[in-house]
Amino acid sequence: MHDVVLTILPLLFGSFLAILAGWTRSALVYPLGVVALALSTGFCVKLLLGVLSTGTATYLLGGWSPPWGIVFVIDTFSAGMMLLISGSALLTYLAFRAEIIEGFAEKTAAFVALLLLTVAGHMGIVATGDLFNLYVLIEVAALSGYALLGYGSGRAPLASLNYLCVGSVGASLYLLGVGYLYILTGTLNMADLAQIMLAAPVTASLHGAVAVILFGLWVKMALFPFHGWLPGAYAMSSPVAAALLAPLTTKVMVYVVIRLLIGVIPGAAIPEALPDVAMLLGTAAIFAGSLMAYRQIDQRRMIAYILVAEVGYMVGGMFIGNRTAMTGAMLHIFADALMTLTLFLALGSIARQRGEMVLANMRGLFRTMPFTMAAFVLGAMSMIGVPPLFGFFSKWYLLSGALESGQYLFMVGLLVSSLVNVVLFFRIFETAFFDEPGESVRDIEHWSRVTPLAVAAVLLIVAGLSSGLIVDRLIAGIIPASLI
Amino acid sequence: MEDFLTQLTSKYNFWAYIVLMMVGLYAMIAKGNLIKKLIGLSIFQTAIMLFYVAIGSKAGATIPILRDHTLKGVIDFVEYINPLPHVLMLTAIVVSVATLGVALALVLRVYDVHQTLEEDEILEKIKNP
Amino acid sequence: MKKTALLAVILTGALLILSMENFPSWGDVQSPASLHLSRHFIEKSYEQTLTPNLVTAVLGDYRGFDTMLETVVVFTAALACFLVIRLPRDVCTPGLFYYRHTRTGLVVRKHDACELPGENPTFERVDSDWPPHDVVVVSTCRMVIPFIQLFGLYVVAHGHYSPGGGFQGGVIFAASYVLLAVSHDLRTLVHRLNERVTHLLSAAGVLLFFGVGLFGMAMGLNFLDYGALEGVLGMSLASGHSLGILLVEIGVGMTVTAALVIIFKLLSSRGTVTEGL
Repeated sequence: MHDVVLTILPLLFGSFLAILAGWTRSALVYPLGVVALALSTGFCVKLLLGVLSTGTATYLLGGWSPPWGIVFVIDTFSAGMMLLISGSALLTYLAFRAEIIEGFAEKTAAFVALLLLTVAGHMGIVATGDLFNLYVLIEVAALSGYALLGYGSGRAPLASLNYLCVGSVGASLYLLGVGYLYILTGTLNMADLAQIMLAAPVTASLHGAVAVILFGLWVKMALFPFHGWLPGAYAMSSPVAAALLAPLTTKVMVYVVIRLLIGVIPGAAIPEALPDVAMLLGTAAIFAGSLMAYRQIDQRRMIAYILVAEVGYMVGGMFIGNRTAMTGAMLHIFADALMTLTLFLALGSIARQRGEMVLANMRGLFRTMPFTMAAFVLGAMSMIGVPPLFGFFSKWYLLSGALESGQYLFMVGLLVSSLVNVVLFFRIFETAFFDEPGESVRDIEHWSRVTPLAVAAVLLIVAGLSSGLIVDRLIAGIIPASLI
Repeated sequence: MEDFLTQLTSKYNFWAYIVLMMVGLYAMIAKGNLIKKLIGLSIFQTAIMLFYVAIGSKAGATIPILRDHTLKGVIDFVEYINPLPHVLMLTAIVVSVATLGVALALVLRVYDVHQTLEEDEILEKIKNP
Repeated sequence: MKKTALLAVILTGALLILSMENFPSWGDVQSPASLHLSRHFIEKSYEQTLTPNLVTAVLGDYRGFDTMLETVVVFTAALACFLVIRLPRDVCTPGLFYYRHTRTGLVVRKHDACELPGENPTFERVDSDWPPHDVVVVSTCRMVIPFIQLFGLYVVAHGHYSPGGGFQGGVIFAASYVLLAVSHDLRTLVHRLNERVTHLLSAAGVLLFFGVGLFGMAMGLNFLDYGALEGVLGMSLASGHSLGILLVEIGVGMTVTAALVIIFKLLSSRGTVTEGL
């Protein structure tokens, strides 16, 4: 009965306890985080199974029925997202055990608490059925994210401050749009709003409200040309924070837009020009992201720019306006999160041994860290779109969706960015495979780091092979029948 | 023209919030000093709060605290202004204060690293260390 | 750059102005925003929660989850400041330290000292360029601070009947500590309310809120359902909700006070939490 809310409560509870523990028994802090994340992941699995068998689950917080109170609404797609978020956070947390315990000294408790809070925030964003509650959750997730990314030496604080400014403007614009919808309809509950909007007259104000909300969310998800904060924030920060947040932040925002588009905002309320603008920005993001990625020296920064291109994939996919492309965009959320996780976990392990992540530091890695590199190759191949890895299938849906609607420029973008990814990643493979590692190199692969990485990499294959099942069971039922 | 004027006068509260919001946005984009940018952000967020509070107003109504004589009898919703926007903005104010606190902490760290708060000087220092 | 910014801003503003064409006029009693949810809250919330202040009722009860997250945001901000700027305790941050001979009033300057000397009756630490304490300021603040704190508690406790509640009261309470630090110095504040206490208090506040929520689950209701308090001390359902709101507001007050003091201490001392101002 409480499954829905039990996915998030352990994280919140864990973060409060972590602070109490940090000032009394600091040895308990790290295990507390493991327990909280594991409990949350366990409840997510249970929730997903429950939703698959009995259909959409709702939970009334405070016992007040909607629209008076706040509700959590979990359908199959969001249950999958919840599992993805908590699972990937758990893997990151386990893989970076050494960094978390040693790297923060007396601040470990604060770091663990913030990490749990940001995961809780992201899961809440997925779960909530209330527009204003969504704003508060966005801020919980973002505020703890700023701190995690801003902790570090050198340019990390500046990059994080940049992110804070852009992110706050995005969230504020979203809040403004919610205010517009509230003044027009008098409600904040998503389901209630969808009902009222269907009957409401289509006016300039309604269009304005939808445009402001979507614009704010685009800013938050780092869609081109608002992507400026993303590469800095992920490349300058500590590897733990980058590996934790890179798979989550942008994807969750994409999820919010998809949820609003297919569940709340009726087609008539979307301004006519908006899909075209979105397609344009999405395509531009793909080209610009790939081009910038090509010019980077630091490998983490390069992957961050690929993320910018990936956001373009998803935004393009959801605005093409047919069923196949929407399926592709939704599937790509899962795929992109998983492969980003794999790549950042692998890079984190490598960075710990080799220091700065430039090509010259990656010589001979295949010999010294074979397992890590194998996982890295799987992640990279998935990014490129090689079957049977997960990335191939979502890209396939996107391509065929674009073909159906005649969006040829977007198709070219997808293909070009795949080609650029080939060049980028084979540059790394070449250096890591053929060049000799230096004399002084003593790389260690510890099982505690390789296991989470291996899980993520194997999941890429498993999810790829069962992507038909994912589409059938998780995604197909959510897309409204009106979208053909 | 007359239509436009009536529009202008009956909705001047919205004009005020938009002007204020744009002042904040301009400061965020155009100012080079990080503290000034944060002040711009605060103005921007405050403008949105003003907008919400304006939604709550009702002509001739009083604050949403029930008066004694209405507690026993029937409560007429016309007598009290809309409490919901106030609730929402209480939350938003707290969020913006929290954001400002974190931002100032980050600014302190930026100053420690770069010894300046002017954005162009920081970029210059990053280029030619 | 400035011209492009100005152009972009004017363009955005114009679009926003165009989009408010269909908004109801200011103060319209029959606008959708004043009817749907709001009407229900105004007419029903007193009989459901026994709280005349509708803002408190909606904030603490109907949208209690929002309020919990909002408290979590404040808690997060304190942690974030701690993580970002707190300097490690064992790292020496050399600087100038000033000591005043208590009998003669002479001030001694010490360079590059790291170790703070222990309690010494003949010398007292003073802030660098801070004049000797002004008796008027110190004694006035000493008299005012207890009243400010009392007022803060009143605002927390009286949120059901008048404007107020956990956030407002917590901020007032924290302001009294800020006044203490401004009128004396930061060391006095840290001496009264050290880091450990503030952190534990901030976590305890959110835990209290959370605990009220869990109590609802323990009694077989939903998370944060204050109806679980029905029957405790023989209360009716509505007064159970009222008590739930009060408990929650106390938790909020604790967290807000502690978090603001943490943030103030960290920012004013640039992360050392011993010196500054």
